Amino acid sequence: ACSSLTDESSDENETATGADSEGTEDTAAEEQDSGENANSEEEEISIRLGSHLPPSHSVIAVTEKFEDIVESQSNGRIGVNIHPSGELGGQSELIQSLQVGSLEMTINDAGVLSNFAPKVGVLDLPYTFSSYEHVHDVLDSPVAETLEEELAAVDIKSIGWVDSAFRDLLINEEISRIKGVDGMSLRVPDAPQYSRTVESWGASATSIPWGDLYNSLETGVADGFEGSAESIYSDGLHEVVEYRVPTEHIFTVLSLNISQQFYDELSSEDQTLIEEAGREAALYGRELAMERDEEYKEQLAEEGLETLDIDKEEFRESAMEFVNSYAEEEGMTDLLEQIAELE
Amino acid sequence: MEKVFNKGVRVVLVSLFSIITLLAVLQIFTRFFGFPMSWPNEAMRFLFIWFVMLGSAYALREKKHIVVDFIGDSVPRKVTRIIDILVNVTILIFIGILIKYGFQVVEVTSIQTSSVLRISMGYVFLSVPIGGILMLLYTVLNIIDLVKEKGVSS
Amino acid sequence: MTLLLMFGLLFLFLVLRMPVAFAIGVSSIATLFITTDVTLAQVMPRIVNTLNSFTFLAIPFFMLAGSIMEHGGISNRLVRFANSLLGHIKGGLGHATIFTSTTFAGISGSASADTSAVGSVMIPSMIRRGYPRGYAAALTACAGAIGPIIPPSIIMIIYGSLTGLSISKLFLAGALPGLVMAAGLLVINYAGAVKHNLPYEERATLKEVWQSFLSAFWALLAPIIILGGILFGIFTATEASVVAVVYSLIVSIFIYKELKLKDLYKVLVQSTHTSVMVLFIAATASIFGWILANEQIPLQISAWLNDFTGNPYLLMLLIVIILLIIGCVIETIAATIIFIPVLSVIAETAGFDPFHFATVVAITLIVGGVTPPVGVLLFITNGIAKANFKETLRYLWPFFMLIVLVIIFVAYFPDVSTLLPSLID
Ligand code: NA
Ligand code: NA
Repeated sequence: ACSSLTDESSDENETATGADSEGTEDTAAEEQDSGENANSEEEEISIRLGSHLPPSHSVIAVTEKFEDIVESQSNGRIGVNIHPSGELGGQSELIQSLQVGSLEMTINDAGVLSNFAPKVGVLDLPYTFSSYEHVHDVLDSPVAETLEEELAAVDIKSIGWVDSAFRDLLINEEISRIKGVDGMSLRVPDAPQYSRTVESWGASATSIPWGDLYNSLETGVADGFEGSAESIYSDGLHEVVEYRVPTEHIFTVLSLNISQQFYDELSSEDQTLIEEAGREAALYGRELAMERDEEYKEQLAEEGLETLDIDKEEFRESAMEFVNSYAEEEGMTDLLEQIAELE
Repeated sequence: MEKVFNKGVRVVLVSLFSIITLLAVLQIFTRFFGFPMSWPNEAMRFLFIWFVMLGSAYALREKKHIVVDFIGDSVPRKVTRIIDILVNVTILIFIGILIKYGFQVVEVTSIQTSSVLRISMGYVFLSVPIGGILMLLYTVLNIIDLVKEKGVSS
Repeated sequence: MTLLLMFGLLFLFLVLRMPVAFAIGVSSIATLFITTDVTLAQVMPRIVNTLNSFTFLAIPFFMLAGSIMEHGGISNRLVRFANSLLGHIKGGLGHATIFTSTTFAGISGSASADTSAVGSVMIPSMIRRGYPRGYAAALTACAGAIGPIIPPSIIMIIYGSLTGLSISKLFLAGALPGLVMAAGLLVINYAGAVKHNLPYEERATLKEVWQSFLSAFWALLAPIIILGGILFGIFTATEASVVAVVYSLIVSIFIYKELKLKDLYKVLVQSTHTSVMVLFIAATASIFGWILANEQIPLQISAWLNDFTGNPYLLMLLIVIILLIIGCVIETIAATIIFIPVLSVIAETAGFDPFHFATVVAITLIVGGVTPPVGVLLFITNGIAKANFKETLRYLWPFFMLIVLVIIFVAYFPDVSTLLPSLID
């Protein structure tokens, strides 16, 4: 739900631009050849895909994979332009654009999507998932279909669920039991499932803009925060915290979305092509996410971030009371049970 | 009549500004003393959006928006008056778009809930068309003033 | 095509005296309508989502703090202290203006707030003592430009929110360059005073200096609290703006006892005007910026600049020149929102330190406030001084040359801007 917009490397951006102009030339040539015979199916299609993440992020690599597949499968007729770093707006704004049909595609966190389709929030609850395998089993199960229907009801068509990583707790004080977290002030994204999770551990939740986090940690405005290895490493936050507590409390799942309006206007061949590309890219992302997460954790350890040996179960148990009452409030108890059965 | 109405708008703006300030103080105060609250953050952002939209409308009437005057001294008032009328009519079209599409977006966002207060985002986005209506009113008044001005030099 | 159309329309509406915020909005929507099939419904979320920012909340708070200081006796006391300290040097009131502006800059985030607060007191006194009206106007406008270079700074707040860079660090990056600029302005004012034979005041006795210092003590403490708070990480930028409001309220109401409840209402109305004026520009300029991003224009410009030169020194110079030209005709806040997304791509590619680059860009854009024809700070001081605009421009150029020199200095000696931010690393 949170990410900084630093870290822009334009190399990857330029690749996107290059591929786009190639696509345009191809189509121009095609049109000349086929002359008046060009029917609507041969029409050049351009897709803009918006993300809040920086170009270096592994999730953007997944969208680039999607771009490659679509462009090669369509022989360059369908072009994909990736707009990273919130160029076209933050997460909520991207989704709104998708809904009104002024943007073709986005990739978004389940947490943010839950503001539009509340049941999707089940993916963003703490301790919904126990392992990567569990995540994949759920995303391949009817549960995912139910969530896709929820999204479709608000004009968001999900064509692939993309893995990110488990989130851990990062603090400055060595602890051995959950008791140690008591009274700490922890930075969390602005969403109840995050603040209530750390509150269930006895800490207090504080919302500080991601960009100010580095300074806040160093000077003690916050005692710690939670996030994935990738987000910690890419913003250098390991320089200002000492310990990683592998709480693995929330797994961030993203959905690759297409605007329902735009989708409906495509020919059925193109619809299939794009949906299959979405699925394939998402599968590619599963491997990538695991590899990258490992790599980032190794990097963090090399640079001196110590991983504490704690009982994750303690943290899970503390959070369960809130999880159950929250799931009941939001009418997602059924879903949560189905997910648990897939473990 | 207009004076009373404007006074009302001013009171609304000053109240919004004061509430936002108090919420900000509350948030910092609670964070300093170790029991931070997250709802004031979202509440003040939403009130702030309303504050800016309504305030921008009011500033139109009070002529507080920045205007760049390259031509004022070198062109007779007769000409600038006509330009001013045309410019205000153009602004009117812009405001019309703001209102029309603003309402459309309110409809779309009404199903979206805010992440902390869990209120419909439609209430936040409503600030655009409502601010737009106030802008419309003030721009019409500005145009009436310009048309009436006849021969008066300022 | 899109670029030409959009800027063409913008200039047309600006020349026709449409308010800047609306000229940006109208030219954006017209361009959207003519060149793309993007629906206009896209534009509305943009306005709200831009304003839905905790960071932007700092803008009205810093405006409010500035307004409270102006009406609560704080700026008067700063002026008196500056006069007792520097008034006896040739061009003394001019030196005092620069000193006051610099101190006030440590509390105010906006160049126009700084300029009008200091200008409303200093310009009439300078004119009374025989300073040419144009000289007083030119000097005060340039001194006011220090406002957002020395932290806090609205430009840096916007810069940070657009790029994700730490706002506290951006603030600190501007501190030393701001002081360098203040020192430079003192030198130019001295030279100007000699050339135009400007008067000096009677030397204040040590006792008088001490008394005016005591009277200004709480005012002088304000920048220390705000900057110290940010430097030592006691609070974030937005929190600092709230602290500035609370502090100036306490000093004005309880210590100086110059602010009454009735004044507070007036102060709130005044700062409502100054802040919505900036914020509505930010809102409409975000539409303008969105269209540029949608057309991938930042990447194209970046690629073009890279082709043009691979030499970072030359690239920096080129950017400064382009921004100085842009600053002549586009208002500072609007230029920041429109061009930062373009520039940050370039900075990244060329490998500049982000805080160094931000400082150079910010100072250059801020200086746009004193360059004709669109120089908002000049408009303010010229209005107060009732000076002839052409005469003001004649006195402006030595100050302007100095500012350009400072920009070059900051551009080629990165340490000036990166030293303080590196201290909180
Ligand atoms: Na400042
Ligand atoms: Na200018």
